[in-house]
Amino acid sequence: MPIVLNEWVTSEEIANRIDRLRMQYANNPLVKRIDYRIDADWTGDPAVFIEVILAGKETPVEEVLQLAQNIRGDLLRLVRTDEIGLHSFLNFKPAS
Amino acid sequence: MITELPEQLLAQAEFLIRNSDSNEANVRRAVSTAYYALFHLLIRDSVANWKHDEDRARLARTFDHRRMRDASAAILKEIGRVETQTASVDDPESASRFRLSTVAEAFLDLQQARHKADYDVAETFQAIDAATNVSQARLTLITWNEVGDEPLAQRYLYSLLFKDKS
Repeated sequence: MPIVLNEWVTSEEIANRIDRLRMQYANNPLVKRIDYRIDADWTGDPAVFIEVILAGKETPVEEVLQLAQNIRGDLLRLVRTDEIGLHSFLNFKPAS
Repeated sequence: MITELPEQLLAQAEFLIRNSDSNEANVRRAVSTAYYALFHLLIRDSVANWKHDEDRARLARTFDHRRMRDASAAILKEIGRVETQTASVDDPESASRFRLSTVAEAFLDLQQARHKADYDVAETFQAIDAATNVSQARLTLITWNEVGDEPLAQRYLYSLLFKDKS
């Protein structure tokens, strides 16, 4: 089923917000890249799913936990997709 | 009512993630259990506001995942952008708002992760992802203890069960 966004939310607006996060972590040695997609959450509402691809295959878990905490803080302070009616979900994936 | 259930669930989630031994079922159960730790924490503190102890367990059964999800999204939107991440003696209100934001955010995150863990078998559940979920639950329980008595947090608890008429 196609995901329908609110008419006043553009994909450009979402991309701009994700770019703030990407810029923040551009030089972070733990982060290879940050991807995102718009998809439905468990209730069927549209949401932003952010996927952080880790630079290493075996990054120490303590470092990933700290990174996750930092990124969650930045989602609240920098990205705030909630302001445009979309929640952001964060996932981590080791480099393949 | 079992008053220590949230803490026991979180301890179980941490045990499962530490001892997962590459067993994906353990990883998935850890995430689901971490969500239920927060779910029961918020319910326990909500029903504690009910004067009659004998009715609290029955009241606890009336909480609904979707209603709690909507209330968490609403309080996040209401709080708005929070510029400070750390508690500040100059601006304790902003620090409280940030703490409550992290709780509401965690509720949404863990609820979504729980659905993925319990129902989505399309792809392998990443152990590192699960570890971040369980860690988020631990931090959220700590944060809630710091902010739970604040007026805005109490209003959040109320909104988890009741919706104001517009």
